[in-house]
Amino acid sequence: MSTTHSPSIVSKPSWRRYMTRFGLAMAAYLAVLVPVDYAAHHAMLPGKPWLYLVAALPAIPVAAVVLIVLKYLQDEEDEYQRMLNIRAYVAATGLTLTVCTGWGFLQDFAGLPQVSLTHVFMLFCVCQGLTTGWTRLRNRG
Amino acid sequence: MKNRLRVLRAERDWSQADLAGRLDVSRQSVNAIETGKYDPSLPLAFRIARLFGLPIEAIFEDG
Repeated sequence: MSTTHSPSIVSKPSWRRYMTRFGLAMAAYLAVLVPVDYAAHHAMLPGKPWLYLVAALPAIPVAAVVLIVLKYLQDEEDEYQRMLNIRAYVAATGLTLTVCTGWGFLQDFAGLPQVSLTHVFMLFCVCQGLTTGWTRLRNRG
Repeated sequence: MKNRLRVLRAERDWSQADLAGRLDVSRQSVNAIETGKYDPSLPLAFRIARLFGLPIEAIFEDG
């Protein structure tokens, strides 16, 4: 009997590239968010129309994360792993939509406090972590 | 879709990890195909057939 190495998902080039890019995008998110938040709290933001651009800057790394996820799903060589990841992302998107819409209704009809939409991205990241873990747990074997 | 992957693998005394390595997929993928949880795409089915030197219909069975 001969033994052949079975590639683990974490050792795959596509996964390593994804994790590196994701890490860089998250670092960029913090690198942009922290100074913009500091400027906002110290009345250092520029006037309009530049204000719009500076205030929206943290959304650029968020868009990058979406593109990085799409690129990873396109590059993943293992079709079964790709299917599991797509399931996890769809479930995370659904969970995020449900929580946000549910919170919106609770705000409108039950007087719950208003929450900034800037938290949606972090909520999605948490949901994605949960759904990925859940998907892997259900399909382990 | 039913398949004879487990039998063919056992005949060659390969573990799931061995087969996964030969197909360049994860062991979980082989397990999911063997247990019928996942039907492989046509390109992967062809790779499996080539590896065992059999036609696709000798490995996979509709229904």
